[in-house]
Amino acid sequence: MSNEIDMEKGFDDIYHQFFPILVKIVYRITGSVSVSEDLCQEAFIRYYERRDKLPSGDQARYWLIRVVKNLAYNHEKRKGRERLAYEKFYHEPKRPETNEGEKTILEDESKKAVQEALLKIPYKLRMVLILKEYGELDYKDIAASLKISEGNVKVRVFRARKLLSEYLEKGEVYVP
Amino acid sequence: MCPDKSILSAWFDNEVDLKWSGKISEHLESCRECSLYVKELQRQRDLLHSAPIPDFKDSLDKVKVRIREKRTVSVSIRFWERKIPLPAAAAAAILIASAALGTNLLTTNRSNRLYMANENSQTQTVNLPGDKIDEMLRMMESSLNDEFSSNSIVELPANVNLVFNGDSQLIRSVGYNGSASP
Ligand SMILES: [Zn+2]
Repeated sequence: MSNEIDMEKGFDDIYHQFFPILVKIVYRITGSVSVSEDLCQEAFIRYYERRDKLPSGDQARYWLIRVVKNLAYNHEKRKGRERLAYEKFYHEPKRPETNEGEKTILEDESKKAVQEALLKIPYKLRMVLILKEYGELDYKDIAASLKISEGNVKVRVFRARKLLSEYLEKGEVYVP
Repeated sequence: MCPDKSILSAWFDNEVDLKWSGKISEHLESCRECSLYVKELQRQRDLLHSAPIPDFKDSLDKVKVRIREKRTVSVSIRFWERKIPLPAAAAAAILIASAALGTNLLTTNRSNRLYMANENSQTQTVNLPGDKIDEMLRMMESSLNDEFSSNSIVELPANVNLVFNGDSQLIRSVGYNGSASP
């Protein structure tokens, strides 16, 4: 029984340690408050269900990031399919989703511009940069989790950074 | 000669061999252009980390509620492990058959609940409100993931009321012996 309690506590610890990291990753990828809460919760539910078989500590972080990355990818794919269906039906481009109706957390204009600029970066590049900056993963881990080469990670990080500065400059964002 | 910017970007992430990273550091001391680029990378990183993220304070509680909900369902309805009364078995078989035929009887399901179970008898049962089609699509999508078994079954609860639609092909595919396989 005490084992059960230890496991609960272990889960809470893992949650407190890694939930903020997952939120950062998913929010930066999707730009949606409600989607990021939902997907991060889903990742932790999956972890909970398999917690007796899963690692703790840093390995748990890799596992959770991998799950949440897959969830975000599925979300992205579905959004793409919905947009295609919409455009086929209405013969006009669908306006990009906004966070209207969601509580806005980005009061500061320049902070909002960062998120908007990130969302303009093609998904494949964006994902790599976000895993680097917010997932605190090195190139080797990113390569393993995306099943690409380390050289490819290096190139994608570089290109994502280049695009990000371009978008920020064009938007005349104040960069301190 | 200046290193390529992609190399400086990797150096910035501590991803360059020790042998080269020393040389790059030396170069940066004497090259204004390259050191400006690295400063730009640092500014960008600071900006990325200063941007706010949502704060989900009560999220752990919500996660636990969701975990409990799932548990309740999987304990109360272990569909395949029970002796099922005939009508329910038939209904389930019809549903499975109709899914296999690409027709859709789900919308006629008045009880408003769908269950998705993992085939291996570990009873991984998930509760889905029937009106949330998005949720259901998400579940089906994630069932394609490698974390799930490739065999997923969408089942109805045992006490569902279905309208009889009378398609002979469907009826033939119903095994009235209560066996689950479509
Ligand atoms: Zn130089």
